[in-house]
Amino acid sequence: MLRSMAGKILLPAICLVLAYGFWVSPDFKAISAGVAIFLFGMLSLEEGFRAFTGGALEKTLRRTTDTLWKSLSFGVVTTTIMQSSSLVSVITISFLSAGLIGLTEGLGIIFGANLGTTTGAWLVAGFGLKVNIAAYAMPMLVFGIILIFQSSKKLKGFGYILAGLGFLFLGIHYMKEGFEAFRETIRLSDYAVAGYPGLFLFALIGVAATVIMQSSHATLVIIITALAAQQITYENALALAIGANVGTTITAILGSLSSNEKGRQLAGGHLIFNMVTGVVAIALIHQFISSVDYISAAIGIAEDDYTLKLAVFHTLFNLTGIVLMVPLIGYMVQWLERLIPAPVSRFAVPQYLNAAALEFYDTSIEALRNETLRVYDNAHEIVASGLSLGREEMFSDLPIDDVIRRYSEPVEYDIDAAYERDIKSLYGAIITFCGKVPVESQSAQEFSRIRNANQNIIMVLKGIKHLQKNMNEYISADNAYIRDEYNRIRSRIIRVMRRLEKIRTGNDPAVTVLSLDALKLTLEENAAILNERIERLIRAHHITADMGISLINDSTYSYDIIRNLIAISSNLFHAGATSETEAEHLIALEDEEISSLLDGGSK
Amino acid sequence: MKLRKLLKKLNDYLYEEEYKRHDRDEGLSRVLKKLKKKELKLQEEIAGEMDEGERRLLEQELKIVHSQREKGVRLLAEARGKSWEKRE
Repeated sequence: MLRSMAGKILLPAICLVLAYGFWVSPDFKAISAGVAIFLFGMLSLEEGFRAFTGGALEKTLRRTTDTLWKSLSFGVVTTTIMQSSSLVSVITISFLSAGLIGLTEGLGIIFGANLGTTTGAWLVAGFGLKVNIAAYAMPMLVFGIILIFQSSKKLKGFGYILAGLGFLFLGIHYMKEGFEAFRETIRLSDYAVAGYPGLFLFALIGVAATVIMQSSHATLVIIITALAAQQITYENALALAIGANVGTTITAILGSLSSNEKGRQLAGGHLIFNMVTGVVAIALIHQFISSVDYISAAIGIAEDDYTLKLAVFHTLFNLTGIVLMVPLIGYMVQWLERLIPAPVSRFAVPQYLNAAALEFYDTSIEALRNETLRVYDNAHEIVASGLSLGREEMFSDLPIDDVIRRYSEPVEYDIDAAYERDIKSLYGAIITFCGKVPVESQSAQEFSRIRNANQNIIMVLKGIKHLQKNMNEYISADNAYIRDEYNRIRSRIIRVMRRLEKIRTGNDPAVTVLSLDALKLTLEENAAILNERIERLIRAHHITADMGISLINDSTYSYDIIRNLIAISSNLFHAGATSETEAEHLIALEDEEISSLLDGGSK
Repeated sequence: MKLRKLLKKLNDYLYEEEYKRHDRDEGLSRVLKKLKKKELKLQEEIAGEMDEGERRLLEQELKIVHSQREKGVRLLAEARGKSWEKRE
């Protein structure tokens, strides 16, 4: 209640204060417009890079983040290129939530992004202030907007990036002009506070400015332009930079609110890193200042070039943070996992499906696939127990007859309870997640195959439930004929499950989706043979008519179970969007084609 | 990388649809090659197989592979025919 009230009051209050400021001072107007244009540039840049997600970015991320050092470098490089640590944080949270990378690698990327973001200060201080940056902005904007109007997604993306850079440059130009004009009317540096009180005060201002603008980059540009116009002292600028670094974690924290515990752990790690780095920088500020002077002299930065010195400081203290925190990353991961544990529930809880995973096509597919694999894994248990078998033996190398003999007595197993506990909540979450995936992604083959796999799993479990009652009655029956028939059904399902598992994990280079066609043909053939055999058994009075009816019904169920198992394999394990897999799916024979083969064979 | 190669890469990147179609055709022809190899291998195995039951199974598999190849060849011919029509 109080929060919503504050929210309602805050926005008009900010607008009023800004409007008053614009009325009083045209220079303040120029600076604010500069910040607004700069932030718009950041948005445009993010939009542009988003056009390239769903492909190259994710592939690179997957390939380059398998070790801590690689993920650190990835964070540095991508943030340097994209000039947005926020976008890198959001991508990292999505990937972590979808289970594509681990917490250690995620933290590595975030630490790297912190260092990468310091290149922004170098660009602005070294290039933005020294040349007429607006001269570069104009052509970029023109070319950028022309490209944005193109229909190709990639060209549009390039356009957004170009226009984004143009707006960034233009924003910097306005801020610079504004602060320089401001100098003639008011001297903000008169309000400088010296010593530690000043350090803490300006660090807090830095935090607040970054939280409001949600961009440490924008804060840093304001700091550098204000410093260049001598509106703030060098020491206060350092404190503002420290504050901006801490404030930037707010983006990661906001991003993690919609994510699972993994995303929250990452945001926690980000906060710890930036807090520790900030505290160390404040505590050792004098040592840092001397080191900056030393390094600046060594690399030829002029004594009074405070903007470049600020860039040196920014890089130095983030680098110190990495040196301090990287050796502790293992402890940090353990501590964060203890502090923000995965919730324990009586029902299976989705691990990978969350709003963060919905951010990009690749992460949503990966999250969906991982969650479906969990459903499939839980379904294995139900299938085995529903058939009065042990799961391990079902997938072992033991001869199938031995497994059947070992499990000759029925096992009481509540399939409904197991379904409620291990499947229903996950399946429900998958359906809900599918509904939230953007419509254009829903039409993708990969997506619909995984969705179909889930339906196939449910159909398998339904079949097992129908089968269970008679199965339990007849596998230990005195009538050897009916007992054998039900054991045959069990043995057929085991054989198919083993074969599918082999295709799934095996390194059979032969066309795998197409190998499933042979299984389908065997299934159809067996169904025909079985019907003949049942008729023979009834005619010879080996089984009663009731037994015969049960057997006919249950054969149909087992036929459906096997069909659905084959469909799961085709949909879930061969869903990948490579050109060969697509071709295999195209070539795979339809039901009627299999039937016509069968008819041709029997003629 | 030479400029020509770089331009080709850029072209592929910007004209993705065309590239995808080409990719699909390539995929089909690669799978067809694999199937042909499999068919020949199965024929050899059938010729050398003495066990009647085993030979029947192999023959069945051969029948499937052959149907798959027929279907694949038809699909590829259709796809290529379509893209030619489009160009004309």
